[in-house]
Amino acid sequence: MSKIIGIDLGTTNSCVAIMEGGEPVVIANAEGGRTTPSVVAFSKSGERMVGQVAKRQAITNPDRTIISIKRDMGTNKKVNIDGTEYTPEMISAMTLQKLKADAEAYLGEKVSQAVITVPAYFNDSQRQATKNAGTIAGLEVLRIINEPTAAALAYGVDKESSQKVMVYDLGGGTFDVSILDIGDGVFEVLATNGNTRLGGDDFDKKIMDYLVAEFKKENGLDLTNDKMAMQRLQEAAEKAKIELSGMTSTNVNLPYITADATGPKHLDVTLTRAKFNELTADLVENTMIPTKKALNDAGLSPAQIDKVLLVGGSSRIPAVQERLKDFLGKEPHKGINPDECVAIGAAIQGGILGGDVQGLVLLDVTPLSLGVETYGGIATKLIERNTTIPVKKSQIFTTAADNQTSVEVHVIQGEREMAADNKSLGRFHLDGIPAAPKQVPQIEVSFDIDANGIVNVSAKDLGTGKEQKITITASTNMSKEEIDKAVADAEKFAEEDKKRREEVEIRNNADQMIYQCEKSMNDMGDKLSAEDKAPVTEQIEKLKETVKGNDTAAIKADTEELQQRFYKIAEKIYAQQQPQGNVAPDAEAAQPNNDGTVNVDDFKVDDND
Amino acid sequence: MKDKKKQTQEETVEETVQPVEDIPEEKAPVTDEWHDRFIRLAADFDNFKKRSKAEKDAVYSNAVADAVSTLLPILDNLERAVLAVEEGPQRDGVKMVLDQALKAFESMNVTPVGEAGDPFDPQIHNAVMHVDDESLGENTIAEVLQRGYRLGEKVVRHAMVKVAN
Repeated sequence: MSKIIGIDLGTTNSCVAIMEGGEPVVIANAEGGRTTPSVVAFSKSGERMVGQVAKRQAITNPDRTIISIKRDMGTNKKVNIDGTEYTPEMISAMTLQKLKADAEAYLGEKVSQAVITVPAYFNDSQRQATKNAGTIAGLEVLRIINEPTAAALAYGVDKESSQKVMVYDLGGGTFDVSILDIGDGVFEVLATNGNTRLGGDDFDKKIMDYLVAEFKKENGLDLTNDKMAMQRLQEAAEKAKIELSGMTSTNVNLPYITADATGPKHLDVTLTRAKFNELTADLVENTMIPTKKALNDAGLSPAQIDKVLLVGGSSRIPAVQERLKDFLGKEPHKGINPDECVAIGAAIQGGILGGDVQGLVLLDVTPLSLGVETYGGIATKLIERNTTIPVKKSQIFTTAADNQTSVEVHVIQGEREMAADNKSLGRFHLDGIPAAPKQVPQIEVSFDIDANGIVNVSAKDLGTGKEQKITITASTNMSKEEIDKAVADAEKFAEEDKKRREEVEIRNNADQMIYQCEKSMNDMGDKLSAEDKAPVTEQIEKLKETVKGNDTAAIKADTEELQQRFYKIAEKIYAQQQPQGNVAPDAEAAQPNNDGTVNVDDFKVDDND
Repeated sequence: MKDKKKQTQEETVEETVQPVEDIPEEKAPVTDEWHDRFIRLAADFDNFKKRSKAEKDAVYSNAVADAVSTLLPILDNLERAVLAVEEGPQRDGVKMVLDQALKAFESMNVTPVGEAGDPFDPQIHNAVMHVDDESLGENTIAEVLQRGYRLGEKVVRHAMVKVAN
């Protein structure tokens, strides 16, 4: 099986990562860069260039250079290069192809599968376009995941308890903020907001403007018309910004920046972090507007956010982190390279899908429902599919026949309504139940699945405290195909199964009704005349006959008729006893207990019975 | 009669379930899965060893490249100084320092790239300006704004250039 790469397909830069020996690793491109500019260009001779090379020639070849194509994903916009039309998918595919080739060079093997990230606000057509881009690039896109979700995976938030997480993503040219609700392996995007034209470049620009102004104040010369000087300033500004994330002060030293009649001029400016913060305060504040909006849309207060994750290179700026801390009252999470965080998360998702990463999110659920077989062959589920494990659930069952001293617990797995259609995991008997009328004993059946997916099933007679157990380790051994088939079967046969289940239930009800009535009639003895009893006894005989047949509608009708007739005589008994202030003990017992509110099911009658 | 019916249901259920003995056999896939994971991990490790060796070999040249690129701005400024200072002993002195520096770089196999008139090549040049000039050829470097350098074959810094046409 080939490796699954994780790709952060960004607006300005893209990044690719992979799981290696259980750890995510960012793959450097052929030029040694850990991120690759999302820039595609065609030379005049038709040669295709992607990444840094394309960026370096952009200014000489603007008509054949495509930047920020991500903004056009999912639209019908076409790029026309020398008479050939390219869709946004095709252009993005070229970036993906380059990342794929770099990954293959690194791994020394072919790569054919990928997980690709998209912004949380991407709609279906934008997601589909991204998937198509992958297909064009020769990649089977196993999953499209949200960028904030990937960031959360990279930070390992999914392994913690359920919480509300803010992902603050300040990239080169775009700003996105998302509020996620993470719990039980589910990532729900509560709200997103952002600014598609705000990023690190704006911070550089502020420093440049400041340097130009300082130089003018000192020398009276305007550098803005000197392209060469501005080039040097731009590089110096970016360098200063980066240095100010680690130091509180930096020196911008550009000798011979220009010259006038009096001789050469040098630029020598000391920039403190405080000054930088002052210069960029409005930008930081601009990120807070969407942040507050997102929080508002999610219906949360700042205090309700459990964690803030920082993504995007500019989230390294100390003023950004401080502002977030002030606003939310908690320290933002750092530690993972914010430029690589999303790709790392995508690689982890790839690892989960490929089975390299275990015990993480998506695997921590029971793939199919677990339950026991109850009277009439019905599958009674105790643990629903996709329940996150470890989990423990129990339910009280009872006996289906009088003097039943043993019950069989048949553990089954699957989605079908009838036990026989599901997979049998094992069975055991609990015997030594004291002889009693049916439905009196209380048997508690517990399912306990530990973190490794091992199922312990126990049955306990609450009357005697006697207990039996079984440990099932085979439950997680269903292959992906088997699980898919089981789920598909359940859907396919849902209607049929429901009907069969209803039939069994109708029969069970009829049996129960007959039993209850006969019992009550016996108990009543001579309190009622044979004349009063006649309609009921007649109907009991009739129902007994109907039950032998296969006409469910008739069984149902006769059961209801018996119920009605019995109610009448029960009322009579009740009226007779009223003067003594006592309710006939059996009037209550005679109520049909098919009202569904009691958590009591009958076990199927055991062999030993 | 009632009992008989139950008996029949019981039998139907018994027939459809698998015998308990089947369960241990289902453990086989676990072994296969672990075997597969083991093989893959071994392959990963083998590739990792190969890559580590290549990376180790590259460490020296990468370290030199890092050191060189840190020193390059000093070289640039010496060049700027030579151009800015009027002719005379001051300029000659600075020029001698520049030559000395260039020689030192040369001894480390560092060579300059990018001359006006060269055809533009984005693999070694970084275009930051564009000019239309009939006197120059198609896609030609009109001016080198900042010289680029190579360490052996590896580009340490791309030449910052103005490209014509």
